[in-house]
Amino acid sequence: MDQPPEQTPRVAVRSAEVVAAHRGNATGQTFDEHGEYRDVLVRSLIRAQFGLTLSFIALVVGVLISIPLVVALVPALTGRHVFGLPFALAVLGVAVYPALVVLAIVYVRLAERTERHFLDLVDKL
Amino acid sequence: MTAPLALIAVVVVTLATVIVGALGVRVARTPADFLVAARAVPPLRNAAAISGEYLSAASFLGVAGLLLKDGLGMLWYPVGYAAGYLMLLLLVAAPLRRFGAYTIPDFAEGRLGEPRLRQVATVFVLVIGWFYLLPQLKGAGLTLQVLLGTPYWVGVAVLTIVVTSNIAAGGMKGVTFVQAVQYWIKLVAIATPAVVLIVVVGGFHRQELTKPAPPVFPATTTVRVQTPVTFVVTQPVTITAKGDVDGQHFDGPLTLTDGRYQIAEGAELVFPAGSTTPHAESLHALDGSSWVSPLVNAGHRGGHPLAATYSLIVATFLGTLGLPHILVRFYTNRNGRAARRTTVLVLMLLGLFYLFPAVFGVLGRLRDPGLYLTGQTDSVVLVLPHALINSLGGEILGALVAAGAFAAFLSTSSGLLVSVAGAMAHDLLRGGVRTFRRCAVVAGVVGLAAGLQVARFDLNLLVGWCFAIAASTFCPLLVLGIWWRSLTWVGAITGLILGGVSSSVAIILTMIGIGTAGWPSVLLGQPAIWSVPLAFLAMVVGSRLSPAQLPTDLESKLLQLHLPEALRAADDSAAPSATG
Repeated sequence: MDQPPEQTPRVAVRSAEVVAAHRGNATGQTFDEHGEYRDVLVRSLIRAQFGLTLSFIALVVGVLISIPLVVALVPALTGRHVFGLPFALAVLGVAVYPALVVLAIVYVRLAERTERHFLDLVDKL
Repeated sequence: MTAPLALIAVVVVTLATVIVGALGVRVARTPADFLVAARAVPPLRNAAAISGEYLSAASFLGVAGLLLKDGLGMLWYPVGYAAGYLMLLLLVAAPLRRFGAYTIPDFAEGRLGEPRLRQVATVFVLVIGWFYLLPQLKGAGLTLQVLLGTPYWVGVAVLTIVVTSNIAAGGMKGVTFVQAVQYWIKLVAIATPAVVLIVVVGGFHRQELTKPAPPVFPATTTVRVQTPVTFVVTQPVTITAKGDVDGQHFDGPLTLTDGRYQIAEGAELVFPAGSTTPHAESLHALDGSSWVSPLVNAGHRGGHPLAATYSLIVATFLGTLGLPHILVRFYTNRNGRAARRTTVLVLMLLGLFYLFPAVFGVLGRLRDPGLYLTGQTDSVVLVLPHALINSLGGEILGALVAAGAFAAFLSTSSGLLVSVAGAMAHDLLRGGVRTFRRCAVVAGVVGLAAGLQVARFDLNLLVGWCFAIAASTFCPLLVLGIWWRSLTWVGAITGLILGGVSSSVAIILTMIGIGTAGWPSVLLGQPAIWSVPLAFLAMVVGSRLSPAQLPTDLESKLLQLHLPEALRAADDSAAPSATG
């Protein structure tokens, strides 16, 4: 991480606010004055964020959506046990939830990093 | 069965909801009110409120019931309900909050600048809200039926009257706080009995679930029939019957041979230990290997499990981000970053909750299979604690789940009714508080009339259909509106109507009993697999054909959606303009 680590979400919200108040006039105005650059930069931000979103969707789709397909191709999996639970219960009833949470946390970090890069670019204007 | 403790628990939860709601500070009904709340709502409480509103009858009762009935493949429902929040996080959460739209119709008009689009979007807010109300009402009808032996309509009427009068009288003021508390009630109410049942009943042998035979009664079991049922016997068995079987009155031993039997209300049948459980005619009897399959409806004759599974995945993964009553809550986040954090917390809270319903489904199949006979599989969470722990402890746990179930009905149906009445009063009639109250009553009456008709549908089937309509309408509107600069109002209206009408028609055809086997049952009963792509396609084609209708201030709209907080004026993130 190229930014000072944030300890809790609450701190993060406050710090964003402080930053906003700090930049409010100075950067906000200069940013608006660079009309064309601004539009190009915002387009690149949207593209970067959408690329991030798409790659995460691809990951979710790749893993979760392959489960039914794999089971349809290898029916023997159905009767298998994982940690003493039937395959479906172990995977769909337990393992999937922490996996979703981890994906969500990683995504938020990357999305916020993308936004910080964008802010750095804006600062250089 | 009458359960005094459970009745007390239900009354306490209901009264507490009404009282705490009424003691709230302000009526959170207009955007400005929600903003006032927003300044005071920390992310964890906001996340608990979203989860509290989201975990409805379908999650609290329905998931376990559906697992019991159709097997572990039905775990895709809770997986999809949770994964929907990951999709919401990836596609919608931060931009929607940054745009500052209070409701989906606000977003539609604000982003694409066309009042008629707002009207069309409002119609689908009403469709989805009312449809989502049905399973809550069914849950209430079923719960009172199981706990008190009242007819189905009593529970439906009680819930409608409590929620409607509460909202029309201006209650639900501290709505965020009430819903946040209701999440924790629901979590405790499902986790405690689940853990106790595992400890008391013990686990299960790994071969028990997968063995080929249909479930057997593990001990001598008395089955009480509360609604008339026709069941199918596949293994001859001698029971003790008390009541009417096939129109004849019995009071003593009765041998059932293979075939169908009609049982009248109020009958009591005692099955010996080790006998195979007959199953209600309306159920598919699944053997163990079909039951443990991770595919939807595996083992149904003429079913297409893979297609059904994928269609359900499309509906639930993409439906959450189109649920109007949930998206309203994102407005109470301080800004886009807080919206993301809240969504992650929601995912954690939901993931925690969804660990528990499966316990009831699995233990219900192994230890209390009498529900296969009565067909009331949706009631497994309510009846299992008392059925397996035959003491005061079991009764207390039963009261706890009853309280949790009512917390689920109350929180979700209150949120839905506020959203429906708000859409009618605010978006269609453009009226004030008095209009809102009248609309709440109208919305409640319409819900009541429809709720009486849906007793025979599984809770999750109803909710799954709702997700399918949301995924076929608001999901493409939001996703394209946020990420695709070429979307026009013409394309958006085309897609909303095509996706919304086609998925609704498919579902209505299924409800009236058309297409019950083979491909029609999959394509009509789970329409998302084709209706969602259709809606996306219609929006893209419609927009490409109407390039002149692009909003004139497109760049500033995109800026509003995607600009990080740091570049906004200090008051911008706190008071964004919804319709510009």
